[in-house]
Amino acid sequence: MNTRNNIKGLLIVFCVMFVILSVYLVYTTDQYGTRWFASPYNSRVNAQKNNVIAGDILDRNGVTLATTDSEGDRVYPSDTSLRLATAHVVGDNYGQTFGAENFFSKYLLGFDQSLFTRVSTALSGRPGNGSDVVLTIDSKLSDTAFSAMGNFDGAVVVMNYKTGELLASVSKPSFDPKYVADYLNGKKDLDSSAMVNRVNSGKYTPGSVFKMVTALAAVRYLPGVTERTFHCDGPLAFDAKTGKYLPDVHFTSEEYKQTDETKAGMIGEYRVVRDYNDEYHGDITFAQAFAKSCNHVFAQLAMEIGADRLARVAREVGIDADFLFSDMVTAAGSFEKAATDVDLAWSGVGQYTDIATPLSVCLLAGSAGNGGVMMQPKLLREVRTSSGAVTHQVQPETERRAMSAAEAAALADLMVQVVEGGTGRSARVSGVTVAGKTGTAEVSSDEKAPNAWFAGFVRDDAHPLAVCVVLEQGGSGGSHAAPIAAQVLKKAISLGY
Amino acid sequence: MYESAYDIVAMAMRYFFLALILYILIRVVQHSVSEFRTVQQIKQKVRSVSPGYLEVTEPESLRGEKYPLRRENTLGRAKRCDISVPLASLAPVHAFLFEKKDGLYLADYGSHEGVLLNGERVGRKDELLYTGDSLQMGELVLTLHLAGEEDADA
Amino acid sequence: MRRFKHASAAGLLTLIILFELTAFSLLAFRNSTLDYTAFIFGGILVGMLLFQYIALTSIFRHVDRYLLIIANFLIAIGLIVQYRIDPEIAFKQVMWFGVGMLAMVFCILLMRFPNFFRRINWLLIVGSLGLLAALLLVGNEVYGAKNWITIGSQSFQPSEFVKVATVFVLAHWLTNSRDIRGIWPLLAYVFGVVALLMVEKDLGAAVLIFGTALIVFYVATGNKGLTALGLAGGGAGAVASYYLFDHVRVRFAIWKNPWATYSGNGYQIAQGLMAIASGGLWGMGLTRGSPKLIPAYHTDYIFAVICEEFGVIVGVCIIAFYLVFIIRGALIALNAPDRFTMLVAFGCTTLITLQSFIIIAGVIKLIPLTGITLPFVSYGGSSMIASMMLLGILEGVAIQGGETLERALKEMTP
Repeated sequence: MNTRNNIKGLLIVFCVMFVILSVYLVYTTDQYGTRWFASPYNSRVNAQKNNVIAGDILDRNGVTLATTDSEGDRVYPSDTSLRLATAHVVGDNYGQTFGAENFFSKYLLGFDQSLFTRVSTALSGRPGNGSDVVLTIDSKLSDTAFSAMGNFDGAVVVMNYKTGELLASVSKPSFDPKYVADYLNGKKDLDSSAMVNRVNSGKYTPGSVFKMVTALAAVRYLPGVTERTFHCDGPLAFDAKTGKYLPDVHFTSEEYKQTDETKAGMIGEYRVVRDYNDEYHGDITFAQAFAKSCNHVFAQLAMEIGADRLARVAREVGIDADFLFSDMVTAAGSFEKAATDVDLAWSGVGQYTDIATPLSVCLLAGSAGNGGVMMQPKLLREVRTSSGAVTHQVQPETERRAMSAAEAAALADLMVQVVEGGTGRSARVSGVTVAGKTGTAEVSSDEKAPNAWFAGFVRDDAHPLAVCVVLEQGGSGGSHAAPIAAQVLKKAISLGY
Repeated sequence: MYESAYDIVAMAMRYFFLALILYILIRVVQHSVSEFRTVQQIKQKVRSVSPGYLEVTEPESLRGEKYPLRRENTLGRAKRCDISVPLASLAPVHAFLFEKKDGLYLADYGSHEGVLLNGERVGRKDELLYTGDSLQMGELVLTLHLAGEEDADA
Repeated sequence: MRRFKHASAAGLLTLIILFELTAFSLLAFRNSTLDYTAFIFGGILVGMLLFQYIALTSIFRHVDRYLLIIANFLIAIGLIVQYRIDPEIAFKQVMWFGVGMLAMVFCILLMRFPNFFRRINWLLIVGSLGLLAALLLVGNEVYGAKNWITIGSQSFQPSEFVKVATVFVLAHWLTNSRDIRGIWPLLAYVFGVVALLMVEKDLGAAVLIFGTALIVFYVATGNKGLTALGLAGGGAGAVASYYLFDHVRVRFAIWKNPWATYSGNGYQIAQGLMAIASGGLWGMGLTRGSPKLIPAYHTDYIFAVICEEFGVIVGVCIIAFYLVFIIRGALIALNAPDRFTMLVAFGCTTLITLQSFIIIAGVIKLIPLTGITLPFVSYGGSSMIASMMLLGILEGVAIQGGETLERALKEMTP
């Protein structure tokens, strides 16, 4: 009797196992299928290229970014700066990157064609045509962004925070899709990291743009923080051995100037958290501290919030999320829970081991402008089959609710003041309200200049734009990244977005 | 040209194969279910006629003796019992085995020595019986065999 | 009533025959020159399937027809895919199918005298351990596992036969005693076999036999505590092997991220995933995929090839077929005439369950990949014969159970 019942019980277990197996098979193919298929390693894709004329890649206004000529070669626009500006989004024809050439190869090479189309193609005797892919980006905007970066490496991304469509995604150093074959066989030189799309895969120390997360955590977990006044009187001191916060230690400006330049992060025997350019802000409100990007205040807030809660917020807004977007691959950032006070303090102002991608920071800024709702970034606007039908039109999809509507409103207000009277003044654009946060991220203790960040959005329903600019070794975010953001936003608005 | 013709046929055949496979699968499942039900019905029918039988293991004089069971059986020393076993240690009517919807049950009829099921004395509650159970009444030890389930738990 | 069911089972066999004939005809046309051998092959397969079905159903009244149908379907689709990849291996496989059929009949007949297996219990134990030990000395290493023996020009995988023997050994010891003291030879045997397999790096077989032993043990004794202990022991063993053995670490690493190690070990999993993704729901169509890109495409990875060409929906159907097979197998066990055969039948069912689950889950990256074959579908002589033997044993028990029930029915109406 026991045995019989055991058999029946185990049979149920087997059934559950196999149901899980089927569900997992279908689910995983559905979720990851595109990625696996589009993997640069998938030689099936290459095989198909011999049989089908790959479709065109167009920007949202119909500007051709890639097409196949009569000899079957892949050609790109003659405008060099346009090619370079859109290179990462368009991708390459040799399976080296995850751009549209690869990621949307399903459409470009006609894998998605219906039986009917194939039959008619076969009957006509001509080689088949893949479908054309229309991207969400605007080539002119991309071009502007690329030129605005000047000689700096880094990334610029502009998106519509209501629909998630990416209007520009520029990564420097870039490569020229026209010469990829030459790069591969060594005829032409290429920067070793040029093929990396820094927008979605660039892992940077966020610096003060992370204060958006800390401010959000403060608003959520420290009631009344918006009414508080703080006294910023210079660096915060921590015990060098234990990392514990020493609230009673203060520095005068003289002690301060006597700091040993070779011992970064230390004054005398103490480890310190200090402000950029060693500013003393005196008595300031919470909003002013955000606007002026006061490390003193935010380091203290981070310690008040605590590592667990700060990590939770960072995770909820996607800083370290392993996003699974349908249109692109992303790298995950990271936020480690600091064990000591000093590390926690630094992590609260975007240093320590914090890592973020420009895309995730842009998504965060966008969600602040969108009432707390983070939309999925989209790159594919529509697919046009060779028979003229339009399929796969872009649908806005919510990625997650990053914060409550009230929190979003509070964060948005803070960000407005950054541009109005704070470090982000250079991001102003006449005619609209720009909100944002600057960042100056220290990257190493030696002579390298910090990375310049600006992330923000336009507070206007007619122009729902979010932007993120990162300049490697660009110096001060306010001085170098913010103006580029302004330039790019201005261009976007003038183009009608 | 030939290749693309083949390609088209191969692609069209996908649906044909899929339909066939699905149909076979569904039919197999359907028939399995109905077959299962039929077997259950047969088993119930068999059991309803005779739930099984009791086989004597002690005392040695009666060992191997099989008593077929009906839907309701009285067991004891008296001749009027359905299963009459002439042993002094049994009460005139010692135990009662009867069939309910979910199986065969055992009840102590109020004997002096009681009835032991697998070594434990049967209380006031009716006990559900399984193939292989050992019933002891006095010096009589019986093993139960339910119909269609020979000796599943020896 | 019975005859009606007979007709429908036969009807399904006809559909399977239709399926494979169509598939082979399609394969015949794939090149510009007509491939007559495809037709011949298709015909041979039809002949074998018909012969097997008619012979079994006419000799044994209570043979489980649907089990046979499922097995035939799996074998058919396996052969189709193998022929598509390389006609040579398909011919070899169909030959093994023939040998397997003989083995199956052999097992059915032997199951009429189940006590035979009880009497040769010690022979099975010594034989299995001896065979595995012999592998250590004379075995050939293939794909990193030392589990093949070559006799003449043929290679065999003894672990497959050890699998079958283990079922009998398990059932024998667990029929008599329920507590652990009475079955220590069994425990020693299981540990011995698993240890030998681990040393020979045949992780798949080790996990398979250990899992089966654990499950049958629980079913027979109902002893949750000891089973949990066994499970924990197995888990500890797995963790230990992770640290001790390189190849276990590798398996784990490529499970987590096959793309990172693409140029090395992750290649197989990555290729498998790409194949499945290329197929999508509907498949690419027979011969339009690229199965040869995947290592072990005809053995361990045949599931990925099927998904690539027939589609994920068919993949799910195959999983469903296995499930129905398993359920039927368990029902056969429940209807068995005595405890020994019940445990034997359930042991066979568990083997098939675990084997198909482990390999399919490994291919779709649900669990780390282990090198075992998909029963009935994968290419492999030993695998095919062993699977057919399991099928034969199950059929044997089904026949016994059916005959017992028939007897009881007859006794009712004197």
